[in-house]
This record gives sequence, structure tokens and C-alpha cells, in this order.
Amino acid sequence: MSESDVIIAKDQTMPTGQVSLIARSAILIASLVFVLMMAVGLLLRSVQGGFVTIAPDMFYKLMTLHGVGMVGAAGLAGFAVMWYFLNKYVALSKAMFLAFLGTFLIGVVVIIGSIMIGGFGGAWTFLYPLPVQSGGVWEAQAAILFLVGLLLIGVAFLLGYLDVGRALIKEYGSLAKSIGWPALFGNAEAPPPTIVASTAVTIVNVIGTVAGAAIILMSIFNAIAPTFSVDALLAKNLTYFFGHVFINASIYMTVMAVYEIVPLYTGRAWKSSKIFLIGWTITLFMVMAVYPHHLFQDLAMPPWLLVAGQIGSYVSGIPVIAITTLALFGYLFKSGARWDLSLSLLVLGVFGWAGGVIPAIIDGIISVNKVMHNTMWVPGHFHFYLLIGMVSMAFGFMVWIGRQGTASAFRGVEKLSFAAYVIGGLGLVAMFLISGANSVPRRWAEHLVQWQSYSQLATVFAVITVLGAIAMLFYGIAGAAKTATKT
Amino acid sequence: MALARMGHNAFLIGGFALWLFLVLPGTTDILEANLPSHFLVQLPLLALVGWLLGCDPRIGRVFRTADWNRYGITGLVLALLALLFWMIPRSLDASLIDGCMAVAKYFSFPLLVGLPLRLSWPAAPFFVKGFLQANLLSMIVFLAWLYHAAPVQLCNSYLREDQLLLSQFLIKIFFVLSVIFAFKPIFGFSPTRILSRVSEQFGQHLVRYQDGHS
Repeated sequence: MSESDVIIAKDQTMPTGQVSLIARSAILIASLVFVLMMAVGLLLRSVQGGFVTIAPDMFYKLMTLHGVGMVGAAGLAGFAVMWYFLNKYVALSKAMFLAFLGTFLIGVVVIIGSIMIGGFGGAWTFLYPLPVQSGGVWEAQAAILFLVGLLLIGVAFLLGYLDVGRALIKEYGSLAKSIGWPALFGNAEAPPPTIVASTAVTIVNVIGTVAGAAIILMSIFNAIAPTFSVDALLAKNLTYFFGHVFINASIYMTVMAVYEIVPLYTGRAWKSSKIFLIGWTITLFMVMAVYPHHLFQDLAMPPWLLVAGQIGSYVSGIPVIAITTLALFGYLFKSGARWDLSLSLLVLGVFGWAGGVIPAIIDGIISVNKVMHNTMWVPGHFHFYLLIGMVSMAFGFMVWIGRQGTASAFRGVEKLSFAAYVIGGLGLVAMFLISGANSVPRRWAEHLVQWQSYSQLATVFAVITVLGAIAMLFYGIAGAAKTATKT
Repeated sequence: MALARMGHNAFLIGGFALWLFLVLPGTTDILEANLPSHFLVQLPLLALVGWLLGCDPRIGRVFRTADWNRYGITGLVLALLALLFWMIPRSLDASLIDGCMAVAKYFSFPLLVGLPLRLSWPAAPFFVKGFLQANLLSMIVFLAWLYHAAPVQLCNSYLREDQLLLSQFLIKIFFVLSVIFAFKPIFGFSPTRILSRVSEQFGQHLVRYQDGHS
């Protein structure tokens, strides 16, 4: 142990043994998928940049794989983080987590089969009627297989959330109590931040899963019997309600790593203040109410709903993100925290989450959206808060859980890897946003020569990001291996 | 003891009385006259017959302690399979024109849906209950869409307008059931507790009022 080494923050109340092993395994699987899908993303950008040539149908297959893989891995990583920390406060079932993971992985295999063997390339959003109107590129069976895979993943998450709900109700009596309403509207003691956030996530994701299952069932039936047509606007509403809630919930779950790990560095407990409780209660409703901002280009939507979506988009960023970010500043300020890779990744994650919302809010303005929504601006905003935000927090958790209690320091090579991830990630996001601002369309397999310079620069940044991510995965695996040897 | 036995018998008598009422020719004519009342009134009431029979602890004791119905799984699977069969429009249609199918419906809903549900539901773990409730909600939306989107008349006995009406009712039922299912997990008590408190308070007011006037 050298002088620069510090003991990585550890809390004796943190779950150990099988709980830790299960969470470590899940976060490593998710991180491995992140890195693999980043490599796929790098390939996509290099195709758009003209560096590599692949057939357009392969491009769309890879784009679908990248999207669904990232969303699935985000859900898995978030759930692993939430499940691990929830075990501090409530008794969760390990068997249910394994049932969740098993069903999830079966769903993943089915989806990969539908894409790589069946040729499905209708994007992860499976927006009706594209899955069943492929123009002969893939058969209806491939679309059905893809949808069945999504359904299995939905079932997996439903099982997981039901167990979380059961445990919260058993410990606190009701979800109203575990989200902190008696403390908010009375003088009861507030539950810990992880409990509050978990409750909000459980409620919204169970509702989202019901909506998702309904539209997936309709789409499957429509693929089998095409004369039973689905109303395209209804399909889009249900799909984006489910998709919006799911991906936001994955960020909300991962931010629990910040609530639980940062206090170990600062020595200041993250408290469930009234402002915090208000934020999560508002988020509970806002995350479900703002999904119409995905439908601004659908002129048949009721105008009041679109206006509500725009106002909601402005407001929804404030409660949790602003409160979490400001609180993080407060907790870090003059705390004497010793910076290491895990803490740096967690703080970077909060920055990415908060920063990514800014281009999202800009795109959430109806007049801007009409011009920008089908441009690279949109992947710009979601890569900002997923790549820099959510994934950074997941990596931070992965590194921390493997190292807690051991002697380590923020070594030079780690700083370099971290810098690569930050510079690569921000550069990639900037290229998406700049391309979007210059009206470069998204989801196009082939780009005009005039657009290619953006993609070429993005490819360079993507290479740097992937290298940084591989290094993070290596640190995660090394930490897990060390812990396994120790135990 | 005698009072308790009378209470038990009340469930049995009530169940049989309801069943007899439902199979009376006049009642069947009214309830089967249109698709919504057939689907949303007659079938649930037939299931309620089985549910009432299951409230008799003498029947319940036999099933609840059975090894083959641990966590209520066997009973729930049985009920789901029976429901699966009757959810197919063709089955419903056949029960109107085929006497055997009609008899099968009148017996299978109480005995294969209502009774197993009553006997198995309390034993089912939280996640099984939650999963089935979530699944039911998704299926209601799916069925509403199915009856709405059907390009043809699905049943010989009912017009397409009936299908559209059923679809609208199903959407309303979806919202009502969503609130009912979510109420207890969120607030920690069943919505029926509010009703019982209200009726309790009403009763107390009534007693006070009567005392005041006597």
C-alpha cells in the first residue's frame, strides 16, 4: 500500500455475500453489453462517416441491436443498483432476482435471434406499422420473435418490480409511506432516499409495463392477422409512454448509487429532505405525463396534450435533477472527499444527467421539435444523459462494488481512462448535437458527403469512448475478481 | 356455532340461488341478448357463484390444505385455462347455439373459474397476484382493441355494433380495475374499508339520531 492509496469507502451496513455477488454479476453483464453495444455504435458512426461500407439492411439490424441492447442493459444495470442498495433496508428475494435475470436473458437471446437470424431491423421502438411493413426486408415471423423477446423482458422486469413492491409494502405498510408522503404532509420520519426513489420507480414502471405489454400483444396479433389493424396514433402513444417511462426509470434507479456511495466519501449522509420528497413525488407524475413530447410531429394529437407535453418537459427537469445536482454540490463542498475513479464516475454521471436534459428541453419546444426531431439532435440529447449520465453512474457503481474496503488510489492510468471516457463521450455527443443543429437526419444508413465530416469526427471520439469504456470494464472485472478471491 | 353454520350455509344457498337465477330461461334471454351483458355481466356472475361456494370453509378447508394446490398455483392455472377457452369469441358464440356448450359454460364458470379462484387466490404469493393483475389489465386493453379492430363480425349471434360497445365498456373497466388494484398497495388498505367506515359512521349517526328522538 503506497502513500497515495486510500481505503475505498465502505459501509458496514452494505449488503455482502450472495446479495453482493448477484449484484456484481448483474452489473458486470450489463457493463459488458454496454461495451459491446458501444462497439456496434462505433461501427454505425463509421459507416455514416464513409470509413466502412456495409449493406443498408445490416446497418438497420445493427442499429436495432444497438438500441435494444443499450436500453435493456440500462434497465438491467439500473435494477442491479437499486436491488443491491434496497437490500440494506428491506428483505428482497434472491430467487426472484434470479428469475428476473433468467427471464431477461431468455428475452435477450430471442431478440438477438430475431435480429441476426430473422433480419428484423425496425428499431428498438418497434413503432407500428414498421415491424409488419418491412418492404420485404424481414418476414413477419422475425417481427413477432422480436416482440416476444421484448414481452419476455417486460415480464422479467415486472417480476422484479413486484418483489420490490412486496418488500417495500412489508417494511413500510404502503407505497404512500415508502415514498414519504406521511413525512411530506405530516411529521413522520422520512424514509431513506433509496426507498423513496425505488417506490417512485416501481410505481411508474409497473404502469409502463402494462401499457407496453398491451401494445406488444396488439402488434403480435396484428402481425399474425394483418386485417386487425392497430390505430397508428394509439400505438405510438402506448409505445412511447412505455419507452419513455422505462428509460427514465433506468436513470432514476442508477442515481441511487449516488445517494448511497457519495456519502461514504463525504461523510455526510444523503437525507430525504422535504424538497427531496417533493421532487420525487412530482417526478412520479411528471415522468408519465411528459411522454407526448415524443409526438409533437403527430398533427392528429390533441393540441392540449402536446402543449401539456411541452410545459411538462420544461418542468420535469427541475424536481429530481436539479435537486440531486444541487444537493451533490452541497455534499461535496469542503467535504474533504478523496477523489477516486468511482466517485469521479458518479459525479460525471450526475453532470451527464443534468447536462443531457438541456438539449432535451430545447427539443421539447414544439416549434423547435418540428425542425429538429428527425435530426441527429435527438440521439445527441439521449446519448448525453445515457452515455455520460446513466452509464457513468453504472460504471461508478461497478468499480466501487468491486473495490469497497480495499486499498486503492486514483492512479495515473485510471485518470487517463476516465479522461478518455469523458473526452470521447462529450466529443461524440457534441458531434451528434452539431450534426442535428445542421439538419443532418438521424437513422439514415447512408450520409451525403457534406454530412460525413461530422460522422468522421464522431467516429474518432467513439473510438476514444470505447477504449475508455473497455478500461472501466477491466477495472470492474479486476475488482470483482479480487473480491471473489478474498471471499 | 349454529350462527356460524347458518353463515356458511348462506354462502352455499346464496351461490346455488344465484346460479339457478342465472340459468333461468328468462334471465339467460336478457343477459345473452347482447355481447356486453353476456361478456361482462353473465360470465362474471357465473364466476361469482363459484366464488360464493368457495367461501364455505368446509369446501375451502379441503382445497387449501391440499398439497397439490400449494400457493394456489394449481387452482389459478385451472381458472386461467378455463378463462382462456371462454375468451375466444367462438366459444362464447357456440354457447348460444349448442346446448352442450351452454351447459359447459353454466358449470365451468362456477366450478373451474370462480371456485378455484376463491380457494387459490388467498394462498397465492404477492408477486403471483400482482403479475396476474397486471396481466389482466394488459389483456383487457388487448381485448378492447381486438373487438374494436375486428374487420368482421366475430360472433354469429352478435352484430359488429355489439363488439364496439363491448370494447368501450372494457376500456372503462380497465380504468376502474386499475384504480382498484393500485389502491391497496399505494394506500395500504382496501377501498372497501372506506365503504365500511362510511357505513359504520352512518350507522352511528342513525343510532344517535334515533336515541335523540326516542
